[in-house]
Amino acid sequence: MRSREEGAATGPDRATTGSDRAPPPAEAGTRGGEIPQELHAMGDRGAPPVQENPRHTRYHPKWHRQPTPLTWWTRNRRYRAFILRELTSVAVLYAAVLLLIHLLALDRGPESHAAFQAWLARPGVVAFHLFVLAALLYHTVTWLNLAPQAIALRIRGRRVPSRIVLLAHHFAWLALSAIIVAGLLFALGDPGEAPWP
Amino acid sequence: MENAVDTVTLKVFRYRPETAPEPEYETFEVPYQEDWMVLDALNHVKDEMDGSLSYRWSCRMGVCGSCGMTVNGEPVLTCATYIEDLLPGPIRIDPLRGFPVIRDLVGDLGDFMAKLPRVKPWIIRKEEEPLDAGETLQTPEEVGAFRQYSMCINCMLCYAACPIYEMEPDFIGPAAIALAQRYNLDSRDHGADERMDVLSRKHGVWDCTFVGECSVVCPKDVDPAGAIQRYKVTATMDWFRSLLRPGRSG
Repeated sequence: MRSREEGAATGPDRATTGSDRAPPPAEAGTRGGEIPQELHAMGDRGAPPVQENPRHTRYHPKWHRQPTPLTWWTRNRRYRAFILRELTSVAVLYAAVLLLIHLLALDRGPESHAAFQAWLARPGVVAFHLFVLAALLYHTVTWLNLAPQAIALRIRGRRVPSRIVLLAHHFAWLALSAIIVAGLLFALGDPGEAPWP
Repeated sequence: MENAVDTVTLKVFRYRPETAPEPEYETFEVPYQEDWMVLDALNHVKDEMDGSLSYRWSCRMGVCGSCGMTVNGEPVLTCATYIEDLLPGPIRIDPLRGFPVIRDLVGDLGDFMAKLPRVKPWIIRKEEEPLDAGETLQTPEEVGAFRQYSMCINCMLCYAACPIYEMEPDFIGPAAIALAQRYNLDSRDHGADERMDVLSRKHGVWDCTFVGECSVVCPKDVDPAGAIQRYKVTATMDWFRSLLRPGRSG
């Protein structure tokens, strides 16, 4: 403390005695811990001066945010498979609505039903429905494939292997489908009068 | 593979807000060594070519979770990604997706740090027991119920892989939910009801559409997607239970 006061006291003396010449920059740097302005602005030792970004504010830097492109799902195969699974759910909705319309036509009487049958038999409609069937199958298989991740079955403290959970789901699906088809064939009796073309 | 390759090209994302308002790619030609990871190549750039390149790293062995970056479009730990598997290059290195970039390959992970305590990732007891009551023992099966989820190293690869988080930043996210499940499934914990408030509300598990990519990129096989789907099952069962027994849970 004392020595600093002495330094402060001697300061004006030196300034007055040497008032006819400016102190050399090296000397200015050693006194009072002041850093010459040019060096401070330069930052890195010896680095060439860089052109500053005029929008940059030193203590409130602007962080970069990458916008999500609409085509994010094209980044990899798994994203594409996911989007396809989501889109094919529209086919599930379509199949459900088609079934309701079919029932409605049946309810309105034989003429209405026959007209609906004729519409179903048109080649364009058949082709479209084959496409819907493919979408339904894709949706069903990929959806069932997710089951092992969502179900953690434990039997006697040990986790049931995911392969077993997966196979059980696919087996249940095939078994239910077989029962429905068998039931339909049984109810219709004569396959010659099947409602499909 | 032929041994003709002696250098490999890195295309590195640079963002230097004080000099350039927009990010750009800078190309570095680094020597190729068979046992090098992508992180080794970045360290070579920083040590020998351009000391101003900024990125995070620490342990070099897939434990600290600092060195997550996007390499050729995939979120990976750069300390665990062989250059050999990416030959002939060029290898494109970007910061993790979904986080604002502070500088070069450094993202701001503050959002996750703010979300994590909301799921209360610690053991909550209904009543604290005195120390002389002894340890709370667990069987190997009880540990096995949550052990997988306790492996998370907070590397943020799952957030970077999640398109939902990218588009809906309020989503609490894969790692936070997996860590919530780590405590929900712990036999010593009684805090499941408290966590339910955060997990089954808006921006909780129901924001997830099960893309599943978080589990694909997880370097520790935590399977956050599985944790989220299982929690959806739990939340649904809880809801049905509250319908059957009204007044029991609010």
